[in-house]
Amino acid sequence: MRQPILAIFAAIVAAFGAAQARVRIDITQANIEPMPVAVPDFLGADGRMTDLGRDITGVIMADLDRSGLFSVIDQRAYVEKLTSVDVRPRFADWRIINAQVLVAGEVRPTPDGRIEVATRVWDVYSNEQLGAVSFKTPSDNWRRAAHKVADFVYKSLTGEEGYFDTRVVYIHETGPKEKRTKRLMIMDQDGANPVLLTDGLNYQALTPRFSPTQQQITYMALFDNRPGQVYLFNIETGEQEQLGTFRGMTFAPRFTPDGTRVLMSMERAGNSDVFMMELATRRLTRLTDNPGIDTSPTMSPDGRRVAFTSDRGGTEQIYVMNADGSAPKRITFGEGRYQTPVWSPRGDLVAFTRQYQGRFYIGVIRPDGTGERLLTESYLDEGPTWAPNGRVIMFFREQSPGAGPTLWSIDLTGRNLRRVRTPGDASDPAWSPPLP
Amino acid sequence: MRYGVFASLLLHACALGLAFISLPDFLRTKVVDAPVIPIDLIDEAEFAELTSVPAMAPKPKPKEEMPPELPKPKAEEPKPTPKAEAEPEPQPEPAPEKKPEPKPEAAKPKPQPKPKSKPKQEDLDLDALSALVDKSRKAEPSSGEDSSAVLEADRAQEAIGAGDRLTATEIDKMRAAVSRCWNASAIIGAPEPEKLVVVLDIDLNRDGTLAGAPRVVNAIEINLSGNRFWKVAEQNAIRAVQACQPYDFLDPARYQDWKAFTLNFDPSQMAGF
Repeated sequence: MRQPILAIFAAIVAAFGAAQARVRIDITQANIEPMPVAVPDFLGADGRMTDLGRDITGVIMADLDRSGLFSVIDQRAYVEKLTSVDVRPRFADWRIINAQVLVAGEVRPTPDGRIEVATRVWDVYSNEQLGAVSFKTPSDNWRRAAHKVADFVYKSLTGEEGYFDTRVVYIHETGPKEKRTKRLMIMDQDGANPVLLTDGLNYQALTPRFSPTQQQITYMALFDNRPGQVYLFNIETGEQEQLGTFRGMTFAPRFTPDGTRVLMSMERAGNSDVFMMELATRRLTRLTDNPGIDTSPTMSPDGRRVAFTSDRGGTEQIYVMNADGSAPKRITFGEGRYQTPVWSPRGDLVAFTRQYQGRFYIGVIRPDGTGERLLTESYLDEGPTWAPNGRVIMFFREQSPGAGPTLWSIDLTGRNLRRVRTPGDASDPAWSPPLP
Repeated sequence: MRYGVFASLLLHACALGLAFISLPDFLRTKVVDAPVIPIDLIDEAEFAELTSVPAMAPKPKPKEEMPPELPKPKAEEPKPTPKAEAEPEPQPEPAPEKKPEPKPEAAKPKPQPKPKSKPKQEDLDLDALSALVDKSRKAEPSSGEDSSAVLEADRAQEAIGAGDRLTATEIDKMRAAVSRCWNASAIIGAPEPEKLVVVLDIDLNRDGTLAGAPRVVNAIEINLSGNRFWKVAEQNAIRAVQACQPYDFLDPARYQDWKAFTLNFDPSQMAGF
């Protein structure tokens, strides 16, 4: 019995002596360049399918490029010409052009007259398939299929849900500065398909807000001769419903994450407080009761807390309280004024607008008050809205006095600031939840 | 009266005289002779050789003797039981192992699940391990005999880890190469990126290419956590290491020093963007 134990012990010693120690290196810095991705045109059996394939590929490439996380390699550099999406590509050909990931796809007609868009995502260096997906859709809905493919690629490579199959509603502004016409406009998040929702003849539309569960928008309608109304606009049916006349309301209410209640701030007798209203019963619950001006409420995605702006401490700052109104706690302490808090759908950050010494900033802060980061700065940056995956913020900016407002987007890491193309001046963006 | 004036003038003259003599001394700075330290500029290859005991040339011989008993990749790891390893990716291992089969029972336990084979392996391991013990004892003296062909070190440092030291510059080069290819743009926007640490073991061939797929040391932890961002970070790290090969800036003559690395991919310092 002693013999084996001695042998093991000797072996341990010898193993240490004979083995080479591994050199340990800590890699703490990385390359934060966008990941190079190759997206050859989607294949099609006949002319119509090939054209659709090319259009779909164009939308996917634009989406991936615009996210700032991927850099799509120019198609003219590709070496291999794929012939089928079901065949393994020659990975050496894709490695030569430094592609780390290859997105191959095909558009096929289905027997019931729709199209099927099939995609495979390949990891070029480990020679493996990362994922495959296919979507069936009517052929004029090809844009949404392309966005869904881009979402799939995004999720395979980042772990995060994509945000490409979404829409953005905003205020389309026309006319001279003194007499602006403000109308509600909706578009795909990449700027395609802009559609006017209101005609601007009878009222000015303000502060649109999306419902998180349905394709519905609330917005404020300001009339010349009567009090402002809050409308509920159903995008799919085009129906408008009057939510109510809320005397003393200055901007549209925000939905709670479950879509059954709205948070609002109402002014009564010179004081503004935060209220919650149940949409089904129209019952109002008061959440703050404070001589200061409390406004701009936003609820966390888990429904437990509400952030809002209050000047009870002297200047406008952001406070976080429980969903029943108890235990309000101030979370911002910087110089200047903090306004328009919006809780990220991911729950980890609250975006806000900060005003200091004549400049405006869009920033994010953790709900416990730590980690405040300012992402943008300009003459006027306001109205942040989060993409449904909590990674991208859209806001509107006036670059100089007198310049019209335009829409911009930025990643939550502060990188990839981009202008969002709109037909004309645009303000007050609101990002939709992922489309069903 | 005259004595007072005379005495005063005399004393004033003495004071002025003293000032003339000693003041310049106070104003002048003293020059101190500092000892001169001679500096010799050498390149890193010389430095590595001065601070380590080279054992390059003789090594190939004992390598050829060892595979019949235990295959190369196993022998490198400083684990007490070279067979029973918690590896999630055994694929590169069984291939070279199955080739030399003078001991068929040594190769058998691998395909079996680990908890079952442990008691069996201990019996088998003993023969293999004791054989390993004998081999290494035989190998070292022979390497000492053949070292006449190799440069002698300035200082005798045989007792320190058998000279497996990479210079700081070479480690920096390796770190820079892997960092350049580690694309973390996707994971720094993830929630709590500081928790997404990935540890990889890699083995290199003499020409700098990877000898087999990188092994993820904390793979079980990553899989059990269910954190899909962590899984993406794991894929990113593996892709980084594969994309940047060959690592051909390392001196092939000192291959023994750099054939195995453990890379700790830690995004926590980048979490502040």
